[in-house]
Parts: sequence; structure tokens; C-alpha cells
Amino acid sequence: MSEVETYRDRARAWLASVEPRFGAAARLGLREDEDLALGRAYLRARYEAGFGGIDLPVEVGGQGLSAVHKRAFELEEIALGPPTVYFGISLGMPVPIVTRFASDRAWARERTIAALRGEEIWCQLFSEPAAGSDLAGVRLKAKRHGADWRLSGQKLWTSWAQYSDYGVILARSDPSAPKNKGLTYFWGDMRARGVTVRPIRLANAHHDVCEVFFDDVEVGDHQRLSEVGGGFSVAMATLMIERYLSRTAPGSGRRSISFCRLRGRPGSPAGRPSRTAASGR
Amino acid sequence: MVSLDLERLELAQNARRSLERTVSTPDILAHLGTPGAVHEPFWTMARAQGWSAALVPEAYEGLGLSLGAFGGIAFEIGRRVAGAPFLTTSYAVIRALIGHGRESDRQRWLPALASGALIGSAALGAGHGLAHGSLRFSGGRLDGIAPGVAGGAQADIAVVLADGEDGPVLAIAELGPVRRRRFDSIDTLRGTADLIFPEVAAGVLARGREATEAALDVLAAQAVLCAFEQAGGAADLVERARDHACARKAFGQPIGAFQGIKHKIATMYGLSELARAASEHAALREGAPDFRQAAAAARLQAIEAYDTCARECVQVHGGTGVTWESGLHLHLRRARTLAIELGPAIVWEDILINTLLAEGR
Ligand SMILES: Cc1cc2nc3c(=O)[nH]c(=O)nc-3n(C[C@H](O)[C@H](O)[C@H](O)COP(=O)(O)OP(=O)(O)OC[C@H]3O[C@@H](n4cnc5c(N)ncnc54)[C@H](O)[C@@H]3O)c2cc1C
Repeated sequence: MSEVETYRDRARAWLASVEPRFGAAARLGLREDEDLALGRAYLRARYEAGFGGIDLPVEVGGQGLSAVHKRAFELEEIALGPPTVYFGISLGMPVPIVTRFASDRAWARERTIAALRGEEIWCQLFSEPAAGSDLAGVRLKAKRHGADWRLSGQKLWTSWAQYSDYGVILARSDPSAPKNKGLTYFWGDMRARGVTVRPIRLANAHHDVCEVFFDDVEVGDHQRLSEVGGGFSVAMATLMIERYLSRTAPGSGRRSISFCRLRGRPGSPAGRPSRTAASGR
Repeated sequence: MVSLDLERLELAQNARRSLERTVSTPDILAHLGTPGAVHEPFWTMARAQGWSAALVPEAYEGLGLSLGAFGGIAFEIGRRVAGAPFLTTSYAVIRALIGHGRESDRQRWLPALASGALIGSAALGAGHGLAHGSLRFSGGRLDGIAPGVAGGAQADIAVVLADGEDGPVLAIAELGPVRRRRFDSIDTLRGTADLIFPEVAAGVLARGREATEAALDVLAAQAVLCAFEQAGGAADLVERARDHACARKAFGQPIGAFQGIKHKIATMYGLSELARAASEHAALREGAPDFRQAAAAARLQAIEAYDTCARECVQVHGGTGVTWESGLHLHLRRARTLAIELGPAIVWEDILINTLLAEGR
């Protein structure tokens, strides 16, 4: 048996042991706040069992294993159906980017561990009303304020911003430079003064994304994760992770039907798929 | 011919104006939260405009419109994702009574169906292409369950295809004693419910092979009406995709200038026009020997057009497309539901192939 197979067996055994507490069945009928709380408890248990941050470096609190190990674990985890959705963006892109680009290593380690334990959540503040596919068109302004910065503008479609403690932000620091040269990449505190979060109702009747407004929000220069004007390349690094992540995310492939069933909680207008709708074409 | 077409056009345009006044997206969104709810303003208007009477013969207090003439109205209803399935579901009962009912039954029920005082529904198991085998007929009574009946939550009367002692039976029953088990579906406005028959008195319309043939004829007629509705939905989606593609800019130009978007919308347009043409053709073949074949073709075109347009229109809209408020999901929900209600594509592929094979023999 290969090393990865052994690892996968170990993952399966652990997941089976927590199924009664965190499995899909345990989530049925929960309100979103209860589901989120259960998710936090699950992440903590997962971290303590040694399955948190599988492919992140040991130095920042991860397990230092390969992407193949992570995939092996996730394939088993999807079958369990625990409430990980609120942490998908957080642990998917912002946290790995912080572990890679933050210069204060002790701080990065602290944040990573807190996020892996489900204590803190990060969001990704990229898209705007006029900048979606055309990401380099972002307009949210970053203006110098002494050595530091002030941010003003609007982000849109920010997943789980309403639950987030921190976010990674792509902002325009130089409006006169060519479109993808005038951007700078920061991290920000979602509780800072001047940040307003407004959830948006989606077609499934849930509020999975938000509008986020920045009104002259103070950001220190130490919160910069790129060179000034070098934000686009860190944004590309973020999206390269996202590109591969979407292929492994829960909900992909065979398990998506049970996932949909779960999302349509009783009493929600999203509804359960009717028996025929699930099987018909 | 010309004056008939003008009359049809005028009917459709009037319908469109009435629907624009009475049915709005926020309105329908509000109803989506209430499983089994009917959009009363729509149904009240449908009755007042005589839409419930449209396909009932004049002899029974109906308007006696052709399938094609009323199809133009169904097209507008589909465009608006208007809520209340009764026009199609009642039509099944109307059609079954005209084709197979006793004169006394026609006089008893058709005028009430025409006024909309009586709501009809059908459980035909897609002509046993989707055999449910869960409904039995014996000694003049229906017993068992008819699963997932559109309009079942509100209907007063139903035609059903049941298993009798010596083969299938097409029966008609008032639903007073029937228990309704409503369930949440993705399109709550269809009033879908399981009908549970505890030995309910029913009349026989046809038996044996005649019963399945009759059920298929009723389904075919419903399918044509539904295809108009689906084609109308698809047409709305084409227009909305086009409007968004002209207005939304990315990379310094309207997204409609990018091949990925413009070819998508061209495909949507092609499919929606084919669905409309196939519906018109089928309506013209009403009463002809190849009606069932034309109806199957219309249904298959309409399923593909509405499904594809609903999906692609969301894609063209980017993030906006998946918001609650955009209401595009109303089309997605309706497209999926209509694709299944009268039997899914695979059943109609069989029906089409069987009619083609019969022709070749
Ligand atoms: C559920 C959900 C969660 C999200 N979460 C986040 C998040 O956490 N953080 C974040 O920053 N963003 C998030 N987004 C936003 C997402 O990244 C954008 O929706 C996406 O980038 C598309 O942008 P848009 O919606 O503005 O669509 P547009 O860019 O306006 O695109 C509309 C359509 O045009 C097409 N198009 C655009 N340009 C071209 C071209 N050159 N050639 C061909 N076709 C083109 C697109 O493919 C699309 O079909 C989320 C979106 C959704 C739906």
C-alpha cells in the first residue's frame, strides 16, 4: 500500500469517528448560524487530529504534506459533508497567500493557525461592480496617508464577508499607471472603522456573498502584501490557487447531489429538488 | 388566413399587455417562499380574460379557440414566468372529456372548467412511459397514489391513467376525498403534490389499449401548449441576454463584442426560434394523423431551448445572474420543472421514435 493510501485510510477512519457529530445528517435542519458554529467546531477537531492545513508549510502551522495528500483527505471529507463551506474561500486563497507573502512571519503563523482552527475567517475582496472578468479594472482607491494608506470604494460578490475577520484586498494605488501596473495588494481588518458589509440574497435564497463598502478606511503600510504597484502579480498568484481549487472543492462531481439536498433546508424557498428533478433530464 | 393571423397577433399582444400589468418579477419572487401558493392576480386575470375558456368548445360555454391561437397566449405567459399551472393542467381534463367523456359528464364539468371555477389536473404517468403502477382501479374506485401531480395542490378534478384488473384504465374523478401531500419543489408555483386516493369513486373514460392511446393524445396536446410556454420563456431569456450583453462592459467594450458571448446568444436565439416554429407546426397538425409526432418534436425542441437559454442567460449575466433579485432563477426553475412535468425528454424521444417506426412499417 502506498504512503498516500495509508494516509487516506487514516483520514477515512478519523472522519468516520466524527461523522455522528459533524456529518451531513447532523446538519439537517440547522439554521445558518448553528451550521457555522458546527463548522468552527469541526475545523478545530480537524486541526487537533492533524488534518488542518495539509499542504501548508510546517513553519506556519501546516502539516507540510503534498497537494496529493490534501486531495486524498478532501475526497474522503466530501463524503462526510461537514459544514466547511464558510471556510472554503478563507483557507483556499487568502490564508495560503498570507503564509506566502506576509513579511511578519510570527503574525502569519498566528493567523494561519487561527484560521485553520476555524476561529478566524478571511475573505477575498477582488471583484467590483465594474471589474469582474476584467479584474485589472478594479477602482477601489488606495491613497497614501503619510507612511500609511486610506482605502475608499466598493467591492462586490465577496463570499462570506459577513462572517469574516480579515480580507485580502486588491486596490488601485496609482490611477495614472497602465491598468494592471497601478494596483497594490493589502490585507485588511473587516472590523475596521469605515468598512460596511451588506449581504446579497442569491438564487438559492441564501446570502453567500456580500457588497463591501470602504469609506476612508485606515490601512497600515505593514498590511501591504505586494510591492507598491505590484498587486496584480499577487492577485494572479491568488487566482492560480483558485483555478486548481475549484476542481477539488466540495460540491464537485458525484457528491454534489447530496450537497444540494442539504443546502435546500426545510422551509427554505430553495426547496428540496423534487425526486424527479434530481433524476430527470 | 390573413385575418386569422391578425386576430392571433392581436390576442397575443393583448395578453402581453395584461401580463405586464399583472405579473412582475418581485411579485413572483414573493410567492416563491410559500410552497403551494397560487399567484391569485394571475389566475383572476386568466379567468377574466377568458383564458380558462379558450380551449373549451363553444357548445360548453367555451371560446373554442384553436391550439395555435391559444398557443400565442401561452407563449406570453411563458415569457413572464407567470404563476399557476392550471391552464395546461385543466386542458388535460378538457381534452379527455371532449375525446372520451360521456355527454352528461361534459355538460357537468366543461362549463365550470371554462369559467375557471373548477381546476383540473392530470396524472398520466407520461402514458406509462413513466409507469408508476401505484394507482389501481377496481370496482369503480381509484386506490393508491399519484405522485408529483402539477396543480395537484389546488385541483378539483383529475384524469388519471391507472392499473385496472385487465390492463390500463383512463379514469376521471373529483378530488374531494383525496389527500394531498404537498412537497417543496424548486418551482413552488406549480402547486405540485402527491395525490393519495383512498378508494375514490371514478368514471371510466377508456380501457386497455384505447386508454393508453387516449392518455398519449392528451399528453401530446398538453405538450404543445407547454412547448409554447417554454418557447416564450426562451424568447425572454434571449432578449435579456442580448440586452445585458449590449449594456455590460468588460475590457473596455460591451461583452457582446466577444465571440464567447455573441455565439452563445446566437445559439440561444436559434434554439428558441426552432422551439417556437416546432410549436406552431404541431398546433397546425391538431387532428391530423401525425399530430403526436409533431407534438413530440415540439416538446423535445422546447425542452432543449428553454433549458439551454435559462442556463446560458445566467452565464451571460455573470454574478448578477445568480442573484435572487434578477429573477433569472425563476426561468431556471420553470425550465427544469416544465422539462419534467409531462415526462422528460427520454420518454418523448421514445414516443417520437415509435411514431416514426410505425410510419416506416
Ligand atoms: C457565488 C459567487 C461567489 C463569488 N465570490 C467572490 C469572492 O469571494 N471574491 C471576489 O472577489 N469575487 C467573487 N465573485 C465574483 C466573480 O469572480 C465574478 O462574478 C466573475 O469574475 C465574473 O465577473 P462579473 O460577474 O462582473 O461578470 P462579467 O465580467 O460582467 O462577465 C459577464 C459574462 O461575460 C463573459 N466575458 C467577460 N469578458 C469576456 C471576454 N473577454 N471574452 C468572452 N467572454 C467574456 C463572462 O464569462 C460572463 O459570462 C463571486 C461570484 C459568485 C457568483
